[in-house]
This record gives sequence, C-alpha cells and structure tokens, in this order.
Amino acid sequence: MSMSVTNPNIAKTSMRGLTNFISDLRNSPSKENEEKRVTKEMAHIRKEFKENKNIDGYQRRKYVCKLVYMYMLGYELDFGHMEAVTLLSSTKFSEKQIGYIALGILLNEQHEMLPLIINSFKEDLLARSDYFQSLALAAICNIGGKEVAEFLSPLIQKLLIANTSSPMVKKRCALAILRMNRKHIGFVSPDSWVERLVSVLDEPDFGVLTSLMSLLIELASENPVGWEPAIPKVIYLLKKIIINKEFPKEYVYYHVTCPWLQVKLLKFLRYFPAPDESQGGKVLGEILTAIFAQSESAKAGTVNHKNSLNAVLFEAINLIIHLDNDPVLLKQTSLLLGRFLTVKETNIRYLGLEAMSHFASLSNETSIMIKKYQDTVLLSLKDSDISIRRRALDLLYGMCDKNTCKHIVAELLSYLQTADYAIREELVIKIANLAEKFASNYSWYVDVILQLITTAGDFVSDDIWFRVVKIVTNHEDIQAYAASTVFNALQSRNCHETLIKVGGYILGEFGHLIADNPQSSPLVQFNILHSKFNTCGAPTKALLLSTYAKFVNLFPELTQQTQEVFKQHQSYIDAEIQQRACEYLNLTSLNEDLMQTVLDVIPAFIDAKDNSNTTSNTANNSNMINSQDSKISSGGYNQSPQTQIQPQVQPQAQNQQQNVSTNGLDLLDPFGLGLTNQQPTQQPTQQPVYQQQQAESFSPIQNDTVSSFGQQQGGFNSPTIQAAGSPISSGGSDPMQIKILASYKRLCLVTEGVLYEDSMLQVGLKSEYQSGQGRLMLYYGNSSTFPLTNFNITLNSIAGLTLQPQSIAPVIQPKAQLQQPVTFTCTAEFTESPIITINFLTPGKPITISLRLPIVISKFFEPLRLSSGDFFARWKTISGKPLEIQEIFKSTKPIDIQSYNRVIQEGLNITVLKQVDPNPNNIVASCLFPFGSNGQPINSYIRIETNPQANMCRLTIRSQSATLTNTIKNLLISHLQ
Amino acid sequence: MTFHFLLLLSRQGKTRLTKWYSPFTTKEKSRFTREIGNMVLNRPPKLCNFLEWKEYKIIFKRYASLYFVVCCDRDDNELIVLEIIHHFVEILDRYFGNVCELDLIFNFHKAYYILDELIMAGELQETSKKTVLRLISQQDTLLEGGPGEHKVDL
Repeated sequence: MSMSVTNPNIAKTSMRGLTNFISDLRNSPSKENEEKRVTKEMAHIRKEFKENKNIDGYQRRKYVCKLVYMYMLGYELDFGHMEAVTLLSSTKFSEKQIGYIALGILLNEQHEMLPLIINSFKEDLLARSDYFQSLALAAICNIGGKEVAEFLSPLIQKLLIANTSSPMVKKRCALAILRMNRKHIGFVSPDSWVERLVSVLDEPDFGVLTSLMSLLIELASENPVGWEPAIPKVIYLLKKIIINKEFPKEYVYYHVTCPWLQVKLLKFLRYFPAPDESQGGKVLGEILTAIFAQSESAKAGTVNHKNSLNAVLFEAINLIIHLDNDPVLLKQTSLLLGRFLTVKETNIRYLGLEAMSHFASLSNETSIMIKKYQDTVLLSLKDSDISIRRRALDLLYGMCDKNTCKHIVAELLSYLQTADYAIREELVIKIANLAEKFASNYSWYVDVILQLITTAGDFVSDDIWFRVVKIVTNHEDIQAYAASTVFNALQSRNCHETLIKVGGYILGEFGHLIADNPQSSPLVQFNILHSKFNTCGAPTKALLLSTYAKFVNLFPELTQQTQEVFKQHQSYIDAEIQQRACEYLNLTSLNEDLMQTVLDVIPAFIDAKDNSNTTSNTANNSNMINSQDSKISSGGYNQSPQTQIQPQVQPQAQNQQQNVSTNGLDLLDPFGLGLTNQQPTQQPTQQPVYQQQQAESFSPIQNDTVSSFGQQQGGFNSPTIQAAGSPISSGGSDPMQIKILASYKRLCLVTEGVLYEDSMLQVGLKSEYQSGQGRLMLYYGNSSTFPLTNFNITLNSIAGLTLQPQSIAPVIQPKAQLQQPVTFTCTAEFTESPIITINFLTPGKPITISLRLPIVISKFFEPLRLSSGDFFARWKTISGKPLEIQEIFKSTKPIDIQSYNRVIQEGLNITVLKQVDPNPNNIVASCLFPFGSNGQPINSYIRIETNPQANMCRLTIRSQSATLTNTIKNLLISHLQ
Repeated sequence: MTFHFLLLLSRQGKTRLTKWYSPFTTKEKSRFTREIGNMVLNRPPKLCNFLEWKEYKIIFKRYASLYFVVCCDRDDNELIVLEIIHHFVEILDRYFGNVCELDLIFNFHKAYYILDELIMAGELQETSKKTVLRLISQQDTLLEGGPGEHKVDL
C-alpha cells in the first residue's frame, strides 16, 4: 500500500480519553489486570451516568465508545444502552453517529429496546439532512426487524424513488428494504413494488444500481415470478457497460468497469428462463460473447485486474450453463474450463472444477464434452489443497457413469488409502453410492463395500453396512459369493468391527451356503467369528450371539459350543447381552419348532425406494456434508435403508443401560435390524431385569389409558367395529363409538396416547412432525390371553397426504406388543384424516376395526405472528365465500376463553394474536400452512367471537384456499363445540 | 454476494473487528470465530482462498499481519468477494494512510463506519473508492464542525 500521509481528520476527530483507555487495556500485563481495569472503568461510567446531571454530549459519546469497546472485548454490558439511545436524539452529528454505531453493535433485531428507537429512526428519516437519513438507514440495515418494516416501509419506499433523495440515501434505502424483506419474507411483493423498483434502474449512479441489484437478486431468488419487467433493463445495462462502454470513470476498478455491478446483473438473469427476443435475448448472446473475448486479457496484469475479469467470466459461465441455449458458447465454455484445470492459480483451478461440476450435470452432451478431462480431474484428487480435492471429488462423482464407474471407483478406493481424515467420510459415502448406483453385478458391489470397510472402517456408517446386508438378502444369486467373501475377509487378523458385524450377519443367514466346503465348515465359521468375540463392543457381541443362535438352528452340531457361550453370558454385565444369552439358551434347548420359526431366514426386504441409494441425498450434494451427519443419524430412518430399522436400534448402540426398556421390544429381532416384528414368545421369568423391561415398555400406553379415559376401562367384548365412515357423525349412543371419537379428538391435539382399546387389542401411537414430514409409531398390544393371528393393517394415502406404513408381523402373542412405524408427507391441503383398517383372527372369529388416524392438517401448521395492523391489512384482502366462511354454533359446555386459547394455540398450532381485539371474549388468530397445493404457503386468518352468557360462538375464517378455510372451520368446531 | 459475517483476525488469532450480518447467538459467534480462526490461520500459503464450511463458503485473504475473512453463501461469486475485501483494504489504507493493525484498534468506531459505507445488510453498497472516501471525509467534517464540541478530556 502506498500512501503514508496520515489523514488529518483522524487526529482531529479522535477522543483522547478513549485512546488512553484502549492503550491501558492493551498494555495490561495480564488478563486479571485487564479485568480489573474494565471493572473500574465500568463502575466509573455507571456512576457518571447515574449521578452526573451535567454530563454533556461529548462525555456521553466517549463513555458509550468505551462501553462498546469493552463489549467487543467480550465483557457483558448490563447498562449503557439507554445512553446510546439518548445520543440518537441529539442534534449533533457526532453524537448521533456514535449512538447509531453503538446500537448497531450492541443490539440485534429482537432486542427489547428496538421499539423505543423506531421513533428516532423516523425523525431522522424525515430530517432534511442526507447524513441523518443515512445514519438511520444504516441502523435499519443493521438491526431493523419486522416492526421497523411495518412502521417505516412507506417512508423508505418514498425516499428511494424521490428525485430529491441523494444517491447516498437511495442506495441505503434499497438495502434497508432488502433487510426488511429478509426479516419479513414476502413483504416486498411484485404487485406493489415492481414498477417503482424497475424505474430506479434508470438511475445513472452506479452505487444506487449496485444496491438496487442486490435487492432485486434477493427478491428474484425468493420467487422470480413478477420481477420479469426488470430483465430488459438489466440486459440494457450490461450492454451499456460491456459493449457501448459507457460508464462513470470513478467506477473503473483495475481497468475493469465496476465488476461488482456486472456480476450482479449477470446473476440476476440466472433466476429466469432464457430471455426471448423482446427482452433482449439476442443482445445477451452478444454480451456473453464479448465477456469471453475480453477475458483473454485476464492472462496478464495485476492480480486484481485478473480477479475482476475472471469474476465476471465465471458469472457469465454460470449464466451460460443456466440458459443452456447456445451451443457455440457451451463449446467455448467446456474448452475454457478444461484449460482452467491446469492453470497455476489455485483459485482459478478451484473455480474451474466447481463450474465443471455444474456443466457436467447439465445434460448428456455436456457431460460427454468434458469426459476427456477425467484424468486431469483424477490428478486433482491429489492436490495439496483440500478445497481443490473436495471439488475434484464432487466433479468425479458427477462425471461417473456406467462405463467409467469401475475405473473411477477403483481410483477413489486407492485414493481413500491415503486421503486425509477431513475428506474420508465424504469419500466413503460417495464410493458406496457410486458402487450401488452403477453396479452391473452385485458381487462387484459387495467387493467394493468390503474394501471400504477394510480401508476406512471407522468412516463406514451403519447405513452403508445395513445397505449391503439388505442387498445381499434380496439377491439370492450373490448370497453364496457374499458369504465366502466375508468369510475370507474375516481371516485377517485385524478386522474392523464393522466387518465383524457384516460377517456375523451374513454368515448367520447364509453361512450354510458355504458350509459344504471343509475349509469353511460350520465349526470353522463359528471359530473364526468367536475368535473376534472378545475384542468387540457390546452391540457387536449382541449381534454375534444372534448369529450363534442362528447357527444352532442351521447346524445342530454346533449346539454345544454355542450354548456354552450363552451360558457364559447369562449373567453378563450388559443387560442386552445378558438377555439375549438367556433367551437364546432357552430357545435353543426347549422347543425346536419355535426355534425354527423364530430363527428362520430373514425374508427379503420390502423397500419402496429400493432403487434409491443409501445416502443418495447425501452424496449428490457434497455441499451439505455437515448437515448430512445429523440427517443420517437422527431423523434419517424415514428414508432409506433405515426404513427397516426400528428406532430403538440406535439408542441401543449408544447407551445400553438407559435404553434397556426399549431394547426389550427388539428381543427377537436378533440383529437389531428390526426385521422380525414378532414378540418374544417366551418370557424367561427368572430374569428380573426382563420383567421390568416388559412393564416399562408398555407403560406409556397404560399411563395414557388412565389419563384419557379416567377409570373407565373398556369391558367391551369387541364386536366387529366399523367406525370408518365418519366417527363424528355416527357417534350416536354406542359407548365404544364415543370412546373412539374422544380418543381421536384428543390425539388430534396431542402427540401421543391411546387411539383404541378393547378387551383384546390396544392401539397406541406416538407422533412427530417436522416441516411437512411426519412419523407415527403405532403400537398394537394384545391384551387377551390368546394370540391374534393373521394380523394385518391397511392404511392408504389420501389426497394431499402420502403415507408409507411398514409391514409388520402377522401374529401378536398374548400380552405382547407390535410396533409399526408409518412415515408420511404432506403435499397439499387435505380435509379428512386417513383411515387405518386392522384385521385379525381370534380363536373363533375374524375382527375388523377401522379407525381414523389423528393426522389432521393443523399438525402441519406453522406459527404466523402478525401485528394488529398487519392482521387487518391481510384480513381485508379476502372476503366472500368460499375463501371466507362464517359459522355460528352453541357450545356444549360453558365457554372458557383460556381453554379455547390453549386448544387453538397448543393443540391446533394456530397462533393466537393477543391485543388485536380488545374484547376479552374474542380471539384473533392466524396460521401458516406451508404446503399449499399451488406450491405456495397459505396464510389463514381467524376470528372467534364468543358470547359466554348465551354460550354462543361465531367463527370467521379467511384464507386463500377454500379447502383450507373449510378444514379449519371443521377442526375448530369439532374441538371448541 | 450476501455476507453473513466479516472478521478481521490478527496472525495471532486475535479478533480485530467483527461484523455479523445474519443473526447468530453470542455463543455461536464466539465458536465460529474460533473455528474459522483455526482453519484460516493454519492454512498453508499458496493454497486457494476459499474454504467450504458448514453450508457456507469462507473467503479470506491475508494483508500483512491481518486476515480479512468473509463468510458468504455457497453460490456467491468467490473472486468478486475477494475483490470486495481488497476494495475495503484500499479504502482503509487511503483513509488511515498506510493502515496498520493499530489504526484499527484505536479507531475501531471509524473502521465500523467505513465498513458501513461499503457494505450494508451484508450487501455491497458502494464500489467507487472516490465516493466512499468523499462521503467519509464529509462526515468527518461534520464531526469537528458541530458547534460546542469539547476538545478537553477529563
């Protein structure tokens, strides 16, 4: 940097007291000294603020600065905010400025003090000084939230368009609007804004244009519809800069004309389809060609010149890829990107790889165009820069196809051996995905996964090995191959534990296929597995015990050895292992028929998404690698291989002790894969641990029984119940129907409880909802003394709601329980709840029970907080049927506003808006349904007027969807009446 | 080019200036600062100036003893962000006259308002160096020009 003349303004405008204080703190010999100094200064300032009545603006400014400095060093501030606010109302620029800077640092948009200063903002916006206006706008950009948007947006909009506003004010107005829209999505709608904003594009000032383009990009990225009128002007501006070369001189940066503005203009166009002739489509082609031509000069010059040109060039490339309509430019792009792969500058190599990934994913043709660079990309995997390696990996993943996959996977596997830890996990997932996606034969796939486990076992998540087990189970032709391959792999002295798990599972299931070979006789198989047993963790030991039990069933000659192992573990410290040992011991010595049923070969997995990869969401987008982890390990079992895994499995692995009670449910799911849903048929009553588990595992349901039905325990001798039609209307005098309806209604408001109960069957459920996805765990408990057989569940999707139930075992033993996970997705408004039909046989007669599942639209509602002004503004925009419905009803019990509020807010997820209606007997509420059938979120506005004396209630509901309005009406009436 | 935050870190890892454009909790802020400090300071020279971090991208550049670090969206234009950083450095340099770390420590409030002239709400506001410097010097004139300003320190 060149100039060394100190700016005279700095000395003139600095505050000596502040400078000294900062020096003092910097010179503190230790942290303690610094803290002491800070405490002393805080006390002093506090005292001054409190007691010095004559404190002047300069002092206040200085003290506030000191406080801000201490705050920046990490000290808590519990005072001083008010003083900063006082500075705002000063008429002196110096004081106002410090006040605004301090608030920008000390407050955030949720701060309780913000409403207090909105008025100061307003006064300064109305002031005649550009500088005061700018200060207020800057503060709004920094900390403005929803309130600011509500109160000040008309004023700011006016300032943006006014001819009298200076460029300084205008550009800040544009960004203030952007900020407010971010905090208040949808606040800037095209209908009322597009014309005005587009008119500002005629502004000659490049600063204003830059800010305005930021705003337009933000708006278009939210939803491009409605902002098209800006396209011709944006193209015209590009032409002016790039082709006509008309621009203010001071906006030339290292011989490039305002590269920032160019980038923004190009980026804006990426949100729209290719512009047609009338919008300037042809001109855009010329502009892009010109950008390519001028980038030639990027080979020489300062780094800033090159960066600026290349920044524009990469933005143009992204636009070309997006438009995908100019074969000449696409061809040029592919050549240019190929060249970038080998340049010296790391930044350009990085960006080249990144752009090439986009390019490859465009179409078949484009991916063929870059095939020739595959070897160069493979080389980049060995670059010394992890950012480059990540991009290369991503690109290779995208380039891979049927023909190249074996080669690429082999390269990736060899890279895995030396790859650093930061990238291994991503690499493992990608290899597993490619291997599955392009496997021409599954034996190759099995080989790849085993190699993954051997090379980087620690990074192979459970999902990956579950997946390989599943594929082997479902493909008979590779079972023998898989068994002999894992058997061979197990010969190695240092096996990864994951390999032992896969080995245990596969040999337990398919070991018999290789048992004829004396080298892998049953005894040899058992010995090789058992030689690893002691080195394994508890979950693996538990799994191996199951394998041994399976061995007994397949190879009776192993009975003695395995039972020996079970005996040794009968009082093992880990409850799960102890339990398995005891049960398997009993199972293998008491009843052969039972053993054969229980330990039979696992049937093929049923998986609706069998074609989708283990972690396809994951690996397709390596960008999300961080959030992936959580997806896979937590909520993931909605999706893929985990579909087959009961939720108990994971906690079990993590914490044996605390989860014994849930583990109890998985007893006969020997591999912890949730495959057999049968309940334990024998209860080894000599085990106190186990009894307790059983009791606990049933407890949630039984507790609920009491709470939801009081003492009324059903003594109904269950007839065939057909409650499907409409339990609400048919709910006449039949006590069973009343009870079913009560349970259903209650569960519409809460997440867990009993749905149905009679003397034979109890159905309980737990539910979870998260942004459009839901998960239900249904519990079927047999309360009778006989097994319920041919147990069968029918559960169909309805319009707007897609359900995916998992299959369950056909028998529930007496006093046992089955679980059935159901995942579902909400895609649009739905009016009715789905029906579940339960069929089973009792000794003597078939039973059918149809129930409504308590999945109602309100489960998907999200909060919508509105101020009074906002509510009425939106309320007024909708009126008349069918978007508006009004209904009057008489409540069956005395109206209690408090409980109404609770039902609405907590039960139906509708946001009750306080202080909108001053009448305490009325309720105003709103809610947001994010998955409207038109692809848009839908807001609903609700008004409830009550007359407690007459016990009457009037509902008014307005929303942009007639279906939604009607559904909300029905819900409210059913729960409030 | 939406900035989520901007950090100025010394080579020793001390934070010299932070500006948060997206809402993060105080805990997150200090964790992010630490995490990013480690990543950036330990990165060997000659590698590229971009790092992928969480769902964001970190773009940084070292000037003498200071690292200028920006966190922005993944699809932002990396090179142009680098030039925004350079633009900021040039303006600081012109204002302070061969800017050094100490200038930013003692005049932290100035550094903030210079930054505000350049970047607002996480978006670039003004790209002309001349305009930015003119606006700042006009404001400085207002500072000293105000009537009744005290020049005596207690």
